[in-house]
Amino acid sequence: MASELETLANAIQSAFKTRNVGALRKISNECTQKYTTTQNHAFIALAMASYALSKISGKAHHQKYVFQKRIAFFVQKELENAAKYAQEGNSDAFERELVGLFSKLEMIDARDKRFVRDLLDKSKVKISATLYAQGYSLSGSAAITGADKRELLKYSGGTLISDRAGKTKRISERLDHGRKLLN
Amino acid sequence: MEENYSTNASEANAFSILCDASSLISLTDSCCLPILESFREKMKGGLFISPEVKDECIDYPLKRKRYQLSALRLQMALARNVFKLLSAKESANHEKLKEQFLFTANNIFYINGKPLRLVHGGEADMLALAYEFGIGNIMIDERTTRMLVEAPLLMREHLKREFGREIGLNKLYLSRFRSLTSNIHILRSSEVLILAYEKGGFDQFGKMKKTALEAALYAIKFAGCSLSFDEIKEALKGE
Repeated sequence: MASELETLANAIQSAFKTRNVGALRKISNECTQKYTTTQNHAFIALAMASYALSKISGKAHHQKYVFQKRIAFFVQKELENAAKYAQEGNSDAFERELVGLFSKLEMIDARDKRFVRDLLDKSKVKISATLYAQGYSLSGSAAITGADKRELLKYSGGTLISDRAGKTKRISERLDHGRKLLN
Repeated sequence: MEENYSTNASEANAFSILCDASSLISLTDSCCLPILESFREKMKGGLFISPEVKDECIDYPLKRKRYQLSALRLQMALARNVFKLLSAKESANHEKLKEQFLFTANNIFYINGKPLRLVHGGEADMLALAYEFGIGNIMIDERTTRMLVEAPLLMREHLKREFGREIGLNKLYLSRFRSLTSNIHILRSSEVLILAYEKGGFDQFGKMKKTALEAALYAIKFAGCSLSFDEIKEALKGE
């Protein structure tokens, strides 16, 4: 398990170095998938980090200022350390590095704020929506990342989650039953 | 049972509906709460919410500016008795039953030999309350709990597709879950809107009432109700 975390942390670091948005999104999905098979929350933290970094990498205004560049350097270091601790199986230190990484991401976000909802909140909602699409319940998906359930519900409404899966009874059957409840 | 719960328990019956937070949020966010009110007037049973749902939809969002308006609308609806609070006192029985629902639901499917914990305490609480009070219906816009109650084997197929691997099935827990939920029917806010339409809940729109229903269905879909575009088309064909 430690080696999988290490591999993924290294992959995030490489993808962030080259600002490869597509690769970061792909790794985020891979981490979310790994969570289900391992039930290890560290994968969710990596999924969120990778998604948040993909958002930063995709925005030119996050890359032109010295402050953001300096913070990005520390993010790289934290990813490097996280991979090292994962390889050593030191889960406490691994988590500490990720907490540090998230606080750096908040600093980048706060420096050039354009939206009310911050980057980490968006990441939580996005990862939760993936979990919900996979089959976790709405409350369960929100609880895994700490996302706001209302935001998750709204986000999922704008996706094709319900069109891809979820048809059970016919609507007419449900209505027939519903009519019995009315005078 | 009535000793454990202080209010309204006597009004709960097979014709009643217990509302989940997901459906109340989608109805409120799409400004369809007045339609729920007109639906309530035509019901044989009562419309209920649990203390947990009240906390989630009213108490907590009242403290957050972003959601305050929606919480206020629901608080006023509660004050007008559109729905009633199914108030659970501290009860060892309820917690035990909730745990039973949670454990059973979360041990039906397995991946890599580990149980897939799909359901959360909030959804288990709803199911347990409905079971305990003999409430025959739950209004829930969330997809997973609905699928587990109505078509667990379809859920297994969905999980297989999503994870690209075999999903183990514990037949004992599946059978237990089916037995626990056998008397529970699921409605979404979409069905409530359609039924309200049939009972004149959209008459205020005059000749445009069918258009208003269509708009309301799309609004709740985009607000998070697990309703597909095909289902909206199917529903409108029938009206």
